[in-house]
Amino acid sequence: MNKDMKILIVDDFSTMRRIIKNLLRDLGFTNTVEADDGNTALPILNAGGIDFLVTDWNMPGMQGIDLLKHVRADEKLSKMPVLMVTAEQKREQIIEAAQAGVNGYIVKPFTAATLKEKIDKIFERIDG
Amino acid sequence: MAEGKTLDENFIKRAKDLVVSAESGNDDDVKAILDELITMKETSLFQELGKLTRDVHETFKAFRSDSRITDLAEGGDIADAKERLHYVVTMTQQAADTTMNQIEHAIPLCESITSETSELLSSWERFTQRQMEADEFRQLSKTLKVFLENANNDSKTLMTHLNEVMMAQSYQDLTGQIIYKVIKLVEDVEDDLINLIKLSSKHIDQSDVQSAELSEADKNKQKSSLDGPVVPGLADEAETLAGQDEVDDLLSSLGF
Repeated sequence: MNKDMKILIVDDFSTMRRIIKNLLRDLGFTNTVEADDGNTALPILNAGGIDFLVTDWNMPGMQGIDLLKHVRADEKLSKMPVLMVTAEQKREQIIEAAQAGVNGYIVKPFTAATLKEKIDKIFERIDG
Repeated sequence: MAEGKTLDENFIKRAKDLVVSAESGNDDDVKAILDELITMKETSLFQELGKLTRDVHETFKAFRSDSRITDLAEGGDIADAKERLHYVVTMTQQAADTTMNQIEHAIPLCESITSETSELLSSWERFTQRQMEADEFRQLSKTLKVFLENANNDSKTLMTHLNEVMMAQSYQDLTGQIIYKVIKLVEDVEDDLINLIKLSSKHIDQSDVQSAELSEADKNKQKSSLDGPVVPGLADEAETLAGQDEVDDLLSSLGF
């Protein structure tokens, strides 16, 4: 796993973006950018250079699930690992996210250990 | 409307007749016309009263037929909103407690580091000014080693406390989502009440009925929207997973 990879954090609540950013920094990932919903995330993704997407689901404007679908449908972005960090924990929603091709799913509130575990797992699969 | 105008014209005509009769001193005619005018006035009063009664009746009918209002009374949306807000209070309380606890653990560590560094600084000052005996220096050297070891551990402990404080702030996201839901409910209730007032006013027209139907559509749309953070007692337990472990189990059953 490349610690210099560029990570895009998407959440409408700035507090949550800061928490995730700080946790990632603790794990050694210091190269992060932020967006507050799918609509602001897409131009950043399209500009290129993002290696990993961490997104919330429920956001005004474009929601995380639609952002995920956009990413998977875009030839240039389709291989990007996507971790969803959300308060949505209904069975049907988790299945929807899985079918849309999410790589990891964390429910809020979560711990630093959970974030580390899911990221490790995502990159073990990709690197392995 | 047309009826009212005829009545007014008629009324004015008879009132003029009354003046003519009074001026010509025809007492019988004056009496007859006065009686007639009073009857006219009473009739219009009864008509107004009838209209008012109809309005009240329509209002009650609208109240009964507006399903949203019935839902509010019977479906418990307001009760749910109160439950959500209570949960927000609980979550903010927990976050504040966690934050205060972590800070109260961290402060003594900072205090001991401050007092130990003050002592070491003054000893170090004496050493650099060659005011220290060899024995005392050996002692200082030992104290310094213990201090550095402690400071190393204490800073790690401080980091843990600071991380806990940071994680506690996630309440802002979770309660924010819950509060947005309650704001949406308040807005819906406001819209429905405005619709109701329109419906029950005397100018009932098709456009009002249509907007009432629209709000029904909005309601259905709202029902299918995202649930947000789980509020104890309000979640659909059959469909909602209990936490990260159950989410992991579901995903692994799907081949993740």
